[in-house]
Amino acid sequence: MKYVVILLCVLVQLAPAKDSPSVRLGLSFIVSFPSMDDEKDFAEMTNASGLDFDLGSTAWGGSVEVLGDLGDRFRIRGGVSVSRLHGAYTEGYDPLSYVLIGLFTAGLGFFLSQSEDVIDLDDEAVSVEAEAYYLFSRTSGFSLSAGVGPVFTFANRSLASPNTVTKGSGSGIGMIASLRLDQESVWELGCLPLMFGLEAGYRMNSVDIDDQEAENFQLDFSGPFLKAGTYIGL
Amino acid sequence: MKTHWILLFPVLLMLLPGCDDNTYPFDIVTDPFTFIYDLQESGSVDVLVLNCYVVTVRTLLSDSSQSAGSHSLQWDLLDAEGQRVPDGLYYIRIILNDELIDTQMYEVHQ
Repeated sequence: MKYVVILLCVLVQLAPAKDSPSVRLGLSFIVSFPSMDDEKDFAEMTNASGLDFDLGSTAWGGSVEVLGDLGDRFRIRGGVSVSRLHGAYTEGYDPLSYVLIGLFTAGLGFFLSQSEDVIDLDDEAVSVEAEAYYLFSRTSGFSLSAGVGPVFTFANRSLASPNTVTKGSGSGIGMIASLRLDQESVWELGCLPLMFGLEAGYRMNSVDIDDQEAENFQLDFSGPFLKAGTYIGL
Repeated sequence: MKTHWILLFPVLLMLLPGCDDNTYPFDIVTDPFTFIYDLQESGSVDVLVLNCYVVTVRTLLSDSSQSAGSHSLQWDLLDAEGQRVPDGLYYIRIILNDELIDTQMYEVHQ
């Protein structure tokens, strides 16, 4: 234990006095709550037919991004993000069969049995984002900024049933507005200057599906989002 | 004797994937088919076919006066332009006196 502590002390050192890098490259984890009104209509129609279709309300994703300072008061960000919303109608095993098979296989069946996505809906977005921030508070430890910028999204929808797959795709432009909290003091991981950042905001971005059958069907990724990222200084 | 019990394991495991066969709560159709719907009261009936984008691709009945009871109707898997619909999920909506009373889902494939 003592050696682990010593190793951590050697590898990770807080250096608050050191200026933060003006350019940082990072990976972020994103959780968002897209409105997806048309998908909700689809889910409602499917449920009306007697199925228990579960459309997720949370989209999960990540991004690769670069942040750069423009003087003391401005910061810009460019990045590529991916986001995925899932919905499914799932059939599990008949409970009696499940228990019997579990008993006859000495418990092995409990581990091997699995549910099946009879109807599987995937909405995916790949977005190119750019945002400019105004830093209205900056100390040696943290900075707080507010930003706005455009986002361009390529989206696709895949709906799979037991024998068919219906796919559609499209692209659309939108806007992002957000607040950022960035670490300005640098942690050093070995030779890498490491920082953390949090972002919360709202995205306005919907995509029309180009499929001829889709008419005005939209994948609406508009909604609030939260992002947490780790950055290295360049 | 122990060997016989061991041989049962792969047999039981092979049964696992088969547990859910034919339990889908919707019909899979490849050809024109007839569906049944019930009306609790007499009135004006609309029957629409929608695709998985919630777009109406065919109107099978429009403002048709029907009596209460069980009725049947055929869908030939054609859209409003007379083309066979692409494979996928389709929904038949029964509307009585401007109120949605039933939705039936079908998987259409070649």
